[in-house]
Amino acid sequence: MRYKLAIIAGKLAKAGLRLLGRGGTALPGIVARFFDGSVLRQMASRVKFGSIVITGTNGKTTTARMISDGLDRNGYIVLNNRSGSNLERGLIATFLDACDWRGEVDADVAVLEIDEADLVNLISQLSVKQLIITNFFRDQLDRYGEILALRDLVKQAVEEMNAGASLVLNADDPLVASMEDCVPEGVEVKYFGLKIEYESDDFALDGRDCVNCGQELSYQKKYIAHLGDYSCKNCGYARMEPDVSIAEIESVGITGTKVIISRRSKDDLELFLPLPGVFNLYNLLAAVASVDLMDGVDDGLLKDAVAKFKPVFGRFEKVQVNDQEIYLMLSKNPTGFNELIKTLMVEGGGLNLVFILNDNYADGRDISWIWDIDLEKLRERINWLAVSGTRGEEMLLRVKYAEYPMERVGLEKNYRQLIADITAMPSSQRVFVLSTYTGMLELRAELQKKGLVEGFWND
Amino acid sequence: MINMEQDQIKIGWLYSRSMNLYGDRGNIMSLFRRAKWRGKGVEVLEYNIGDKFDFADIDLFFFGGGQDMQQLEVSQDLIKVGKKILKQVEKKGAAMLAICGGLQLMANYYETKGGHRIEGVGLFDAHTVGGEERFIGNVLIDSELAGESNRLVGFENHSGRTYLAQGVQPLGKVVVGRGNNGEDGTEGVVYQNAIGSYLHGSLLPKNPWLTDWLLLRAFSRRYGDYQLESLNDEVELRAQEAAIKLAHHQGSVKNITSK
Repeated sequence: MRYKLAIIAGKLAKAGLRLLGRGGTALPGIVARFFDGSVLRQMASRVKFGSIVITGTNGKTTTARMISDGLDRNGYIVLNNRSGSNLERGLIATFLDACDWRGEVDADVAVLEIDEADLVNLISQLSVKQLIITNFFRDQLDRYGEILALRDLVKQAVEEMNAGASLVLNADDPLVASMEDCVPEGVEVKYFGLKIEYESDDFALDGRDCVNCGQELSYQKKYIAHLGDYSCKNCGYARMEPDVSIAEIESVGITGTKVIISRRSKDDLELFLPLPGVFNLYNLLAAVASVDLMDGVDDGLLKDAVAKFKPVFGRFEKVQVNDQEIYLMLSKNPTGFNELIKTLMVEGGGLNLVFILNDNYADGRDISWIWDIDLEKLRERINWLAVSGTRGEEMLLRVKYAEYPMERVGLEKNYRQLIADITAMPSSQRVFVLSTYTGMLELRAELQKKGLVEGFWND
Repeated sequence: MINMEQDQIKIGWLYSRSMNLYGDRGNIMSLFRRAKWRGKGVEVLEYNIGDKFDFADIDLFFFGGGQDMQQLEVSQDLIKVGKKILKQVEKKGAAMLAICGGLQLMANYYETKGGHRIEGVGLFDAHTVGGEERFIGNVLIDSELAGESNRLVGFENHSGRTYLAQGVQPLGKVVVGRGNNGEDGTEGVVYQNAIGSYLHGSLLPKNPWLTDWLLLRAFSRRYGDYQLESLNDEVELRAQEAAIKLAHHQGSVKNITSK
C-alpha cells in the first residue's frame, strides 16, 4: 500500500513539474521516497531481467548508451537513467517514468550508470543482473578522496552481488581486473580487453603497481595510462585473457573506427563504430560483452545498432552551424583529456579549439590536474584557441607554460561572445570544444537559446 | 641545441613516480620555463626508490604528495637516503619545495589515526598527526618570506594536521582555508632555503614570486651571488587574482567536506 502511495505521489510530482515546464529535477524521487523508503528496491525488482549497472571513472555514459541501443534493437524494452542522474532520488525518478499508476514497471531491463562512490549504497536495491566496471582513473579527487579508497568502495559493492549475476571487468585495468578475488560464489566473471598493436607513451599516474605484491608491473602493451597487457614479474599476477577483445583495427579516423571484435564463444564481429579514440573501443567492448550475456541477441542487429550510434551529451557530440561543425567533448580528468588530445592529433592541419575549465562542485574544485595533461603535444597545431570557464585564467596560464603561440590564444568568459567568435570563423572550419561538466552545460544552454541543440534531458 | 655557456641548475625531483598526486608537474614546469625564458637551463633529475643518485649535485629538491600506501614505501627508502638530502639543504645551501606528503616526510614524524608512527627526515622541526576531517578547498595565505608581504594562493587536500615546533617559521598566515592544522592559522614551513606547504593547484605557476625565490637560491648555490631579471607576469598575476577572488568567495560559503 505504501508502495502504491509512493508511486502515485511521485508521479503526481513529476506531472506537476512537467506542467511547469521543468525537466530533470530531483523532486519526484524525494516525494516517492518520503512515502516508502523501499520504493526504489520494489520498482527495480519489477523489471523483468533486472538491472545492468555500469560504474568506473570514464566511459559510463557512452557504454550505457551502447548497451541500451544494442538491446533496444534486439527487442528489449530498456529503461535508463540517461541524463546522468545516479543518486537514489534520480534513480527513483527514472523508474517512475516506466511505472504505471499501480506501480507495475514496463521494462525488460534497466541500464544504469552509477558513480563509483554511490554504488555501494545502491547495489542491494537494484536487482543487479550485470555489473560492468570500466576503469579507475584520477577524477575529482577532492570529492571522493584518493583512488584506492574509491576502488575499495566499489569492491564492497561487488561483494554484495547475488549468485546468478555477472560481473563484466576491464581486463586491461589491473585496478578493475583484480576485483575478481572478492567475487561472491555463483557470480560469473567476464573480461574485455584490447589486443591491438598500439603503443601509448602515457605515463601512468595510478595502478602501476601490482595489487597483490606491490611490485611495479611490466607492460607488454600499453594502451591508455595504466591500461594494457601487464604482468607482475614478482608474483606472477597477469592480465586475464579477455573473453571479448579487439584484435584488429581496420581504419581509424576522427569520424569513427572500423574494428574486428573476437569473442570466446561466438563468431568474430566486424563493425564500424562512429566514434574516435581508444577509449571508445573499451566502451564498445564493454557493451558487446554485456549484450552478449543477454538471451536471443542477434549479431546483425547489434552491428546495426553500433553503426547508428549517436554520441551522448558532450561525448564527441556534433553541432552543425551552417557548414561549420562544432564538436563538444567532455573532458573532466587528465586521462580523459589526454585521450582527447591523442584523438585530435588524428585530425590533420591546424586546430581550432576551445578549452572550458570550471571548478564548480560537479567539476571538482581542484583543478591541479590541468598541469598533468599533455597539452604540449598540441603546441604546433594551434590555429585558434579560446579559453573560458570559472578558471579560464588558470587555463590561459597553463597554455602559456605549454608555450602555445599566445597571439592565437584568447580568454573569453562570456559564452554568448564565445559562440559568436566560433561562428564568426571561416565556415567549413571544425571547432573542437573540450570542457568540464558544468562548462558544457553552460555552453549548451547558450547554444540551446540559439536553437542549435536540444535540452540534454531530451537526449 | 644546448648552449654550453648557459648557466644551468639541477633539480632533483624526489620520488617523481610515487609522489605526484596533485599536478606536481606544474611546479617543475614553472621552474623549468621561468629559467628558460631568462636564457638559463634546468636539468630535472628524477629520483625513485632504490635509484643510484648523486644528491650532492642537486641545487633544488622538489618533493610532492602521494597516497598513503606510496607514502609508506617512500618513508622506508628515506631511512636510507634522507640524511643525504638533509645534508644538502642544511649544509650545502640546496633549496627545496616539499608539498603535502613531501612536507610531512621532511618533518619529524607522522602519526596516523591508527597510532602508527612514520618517521620523517627531520629537516623541518614539525610533526603531523592524522585527523578525521579532510581539509579541502582553496587557500589564500600571506607570506613574509621574501622580506615583504606576498600572497600565495593554492588548493589544499589533506587530513594530516601539522604542528610546527616553537619558533619555527611558517610559510605564511592563513587568510582563507585551513592551513597546517586548522587551529593556529599557520600554513607551511620555512627552514633556510627549504619550503614546505600543503598548497598545490599547482602552487608555483600562479605564484611566480615563489618560483623565482626558489630559482634564485638554486642558481646562487651553483654560481654564487646571483640575480634574475624580471619577466612579464601578466598572465600569471591574472590567474592569481582570479584564484584569490574564488578563494574569498568559496571561503565565505560553507566548507565542503568529503565523503
